[in-house]
Amino acid sequence: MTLKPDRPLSPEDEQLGKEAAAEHAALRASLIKTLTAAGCDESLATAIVAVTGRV
Amino acid sequence: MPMIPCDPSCCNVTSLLCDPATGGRVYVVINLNENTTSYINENATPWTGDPATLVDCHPDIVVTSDGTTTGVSQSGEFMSIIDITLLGNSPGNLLAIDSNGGLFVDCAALAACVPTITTDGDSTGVTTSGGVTDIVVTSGDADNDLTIGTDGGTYFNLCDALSMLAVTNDVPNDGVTGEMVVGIDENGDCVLFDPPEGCCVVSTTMCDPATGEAIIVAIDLSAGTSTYWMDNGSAWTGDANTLVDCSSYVDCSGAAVAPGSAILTVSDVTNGGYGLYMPFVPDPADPTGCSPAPRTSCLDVPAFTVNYSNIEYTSAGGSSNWIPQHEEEVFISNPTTANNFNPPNFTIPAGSAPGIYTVPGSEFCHRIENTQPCRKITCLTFQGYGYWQANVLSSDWFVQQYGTLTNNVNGTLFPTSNCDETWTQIRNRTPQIYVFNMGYCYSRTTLDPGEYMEQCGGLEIRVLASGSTDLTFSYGTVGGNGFCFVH
Repeated sequence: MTLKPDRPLSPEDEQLGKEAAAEHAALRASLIKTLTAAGCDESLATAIVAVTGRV
Repeated sequence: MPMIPCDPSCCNVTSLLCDPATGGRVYVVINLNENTTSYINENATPWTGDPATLVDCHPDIVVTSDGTTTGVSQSGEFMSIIDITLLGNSPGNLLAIDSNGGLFVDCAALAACVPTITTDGDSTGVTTSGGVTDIVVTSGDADNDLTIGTDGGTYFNLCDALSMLAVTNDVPNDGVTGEMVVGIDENGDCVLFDPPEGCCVVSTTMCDPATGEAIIVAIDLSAGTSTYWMDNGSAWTGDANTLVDCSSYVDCSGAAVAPGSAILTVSDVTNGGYGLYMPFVPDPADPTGCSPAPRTSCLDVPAFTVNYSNIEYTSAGGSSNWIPQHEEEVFISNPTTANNFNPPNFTIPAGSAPGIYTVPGSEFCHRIENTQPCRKITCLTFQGYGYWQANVLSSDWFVQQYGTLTNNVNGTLFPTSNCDETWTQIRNRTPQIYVFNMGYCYSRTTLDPGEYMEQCGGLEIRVLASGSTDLTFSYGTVGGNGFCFVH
């Protein structure tokens, strides 16, 4: 169950959030690519990244 | 009068008629023997005109004054005199005759008849002549707080009235007047209250929700405990969490009363100081007005500035010095935590949308009476993974001089470079426990005697992007327990 924010972000913070999300997606893709390069199946690499919860 | 051509038996002659053509007088001759009427001119010749045309030519009546107001003479053909008295001669008559014979009233004579009113030079009374009893303006009773000023007027000096608040070493509930402070009960009446030992704050801003009775909150700074008292000196044993802030209601005039708008504070260096609050205390059961009718006993305290030179603390020898500023900070809300700030733990589940989340229960009001530019108010422990920042969301600092809001001071709501730590934005990208102090800074570096600052606010978490794990926040030392209030 998730919470709803009390107030929206300012435009500046919203932009920071988009940049952070993009950075997060890039990092996640990079980790999956590293794992698959090491011989992991892509689905397995995706699961490993999700389980760690790091990105 | 012309000769009348008739015998002695005739005669009634009038000369009040005239010939309309000539203006000559015509006399009427009545012969009683013959029962005839004839007319003659002034020269005794017969007048043969038509008697019906005769006109009245009565002579003018001339009225002349006799030169004084004692009377008026009527003169003229008939020479009758009518004497009209205008000026009476009764004793005490204020009317007199002036040089031209007219009547006039002498102001001096009039003033002699009216009692004079003279003051005795001050407000103790007004004396009138003529045996009228003095009208006392200012009572001479010993307990009268009205005073006669240098200009002779009566005035009420609040500071003098408060001089009874001499504070000495406090003995709890011993009934000694000199140790007692004045509060206002739920009826707006003045009550004496003997605060407990070590009491630092005495407040009547809280009311029992069931009875509406003002509850006095005494906070012992050294022990960090709060006790609750009724104005009769008995301990109040209800649940403190149910107390309502009755200072947020309205006064007897129906005007909204801002919390803390009427606060008097005295300081006692011996016991760590205590504040005396004198808020409006309306009936919580009737927050829109005074029930059943406006209370005449309601103390309608206007904005004022207390001259602390008139409040002495006898423990320092009774000298009229400024009461030293407290070196304490007091949280004036979150009473269950006294001077600790310890809101409940808070979790933002993974996947929650970006936005600003306010931390429930983190609302606080804080007062400071010293001048350190930054204050840490709590330690925040968080664990989670995501992009977020934690802020102290706060109102501006404002400086209040004991009941009168003098000016707003724009404060720095979040610590800046002049603080020893930076926390304007903290991004957590690694799943580890972070502990950091939260606080605030303010721009005023000096406070005048009698001034203090108050700030109200709370904590907020800004989630910039959805976290992939829960973000948990706890307050206190690592592990969630303990007290991390840092001065």
